[in-house]
Amino acid sequence: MTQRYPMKLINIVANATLEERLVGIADRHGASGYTVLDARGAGSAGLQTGVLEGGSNILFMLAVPESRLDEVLADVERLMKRGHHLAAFITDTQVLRPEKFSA
Amino acid sequence: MDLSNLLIPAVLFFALGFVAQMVRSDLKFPPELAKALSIYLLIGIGLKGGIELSHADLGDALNAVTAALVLGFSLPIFAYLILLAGRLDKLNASAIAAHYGSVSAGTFLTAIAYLNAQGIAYESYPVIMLAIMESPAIIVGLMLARFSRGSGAGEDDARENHMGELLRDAFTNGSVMLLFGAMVIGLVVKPDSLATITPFFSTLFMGVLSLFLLEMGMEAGKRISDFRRAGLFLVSFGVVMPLIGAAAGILVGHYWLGFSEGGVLLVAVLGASASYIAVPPAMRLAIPEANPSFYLTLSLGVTFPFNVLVGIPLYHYIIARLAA
Repeated sequence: MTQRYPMKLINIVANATLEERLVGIADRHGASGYTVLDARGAGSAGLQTGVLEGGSNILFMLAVPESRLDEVLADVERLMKRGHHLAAFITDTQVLRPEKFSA
Repeated sequence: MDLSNLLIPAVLFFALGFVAQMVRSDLKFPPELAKALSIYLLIGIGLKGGIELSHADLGDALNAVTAALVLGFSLPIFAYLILLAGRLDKLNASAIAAHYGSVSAGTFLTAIAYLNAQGIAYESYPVIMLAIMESPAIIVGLMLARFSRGSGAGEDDARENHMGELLRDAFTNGSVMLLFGAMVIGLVVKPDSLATITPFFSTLFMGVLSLFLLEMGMEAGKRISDFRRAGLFLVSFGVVMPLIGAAAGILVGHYWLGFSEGGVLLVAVLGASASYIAVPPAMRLAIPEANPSFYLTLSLGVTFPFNVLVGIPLYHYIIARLAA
């Protein structure tokens, strides 16, 4: 069987204007990369149709080793405390090459 | 008031989009199209403004810029006071006020289509005013929010830096860059070489505007479901504030700037319109505590349709009386 390594996958749904901040968090905590998808939906910030910049969401995906999880989430929580509407989902995941995920 | 004046493609396509949404049609635009169309429209209007400015009077232009700054800085303060009187919390009031001090290029262009259809001439200066008025209200909104938060001692330093970055954003946001950039290009390029891009940016312009308004009609229709969340007071504010803004615009355009009927209508629309492209992302970052569904519902779902369908002919009616 292929060797698999445990990691934590953080999925964040946020307004598109927050992309730069989220990339900053990923950089600060030594992640080597991230993935961003355009997203639509609705929630506490109302309807996000994805048509205009102020009403467009992104799905920001970041994989980190468990040892880094808390510090990353602390930064995400700081954004929430400032009032930003975002949702974070943390799941266990497995990867094939762990060295690919740290800078 | 002759309502047949409303029978122009731009307004009818807006209404079509709105109706399509109401009857739950499956009509959909490709996701990035609205953003692409708005880039085209801002460049088109910027170029046109620049070309006309090349034979404009500098003193008159400066006068128009001053008037735009006065409107841009004072309207959001009016809006803020009205919202506070209605017992809205200060942060939501700041964010909404920023939208109402700023302008909507979509509404402005609809007013131009309206004037063209009736063969009414207008001055070129309102285009510069459009570009100028994008930013001041964002700054006023930031200041108002800052005062209402008070000073959280420990966080003050972080917030200082934050503020500088946000101010930079207010002046370098996409709409402002495109409008000013295209205006400079229109101003400095020789007419002969500009002619090469005229078919694309000028001949096609009203067609593209119709497409854009079709999609904005759909977007406005989607916001109706959020009316209940916003509440009666805010929805009424979305109708009353444009009337106040238009009155201010008419006073400035008629008495201060001495514009013709067409020019005064454009200044009235600048005062009456609320931003839904440039300001919402700025407020997302600057006043995250405010509820985005309030300001988007108001500017896009209430004020924009009101101005396009009722406001423009109403303001024109009043201005025509005033001129007579």
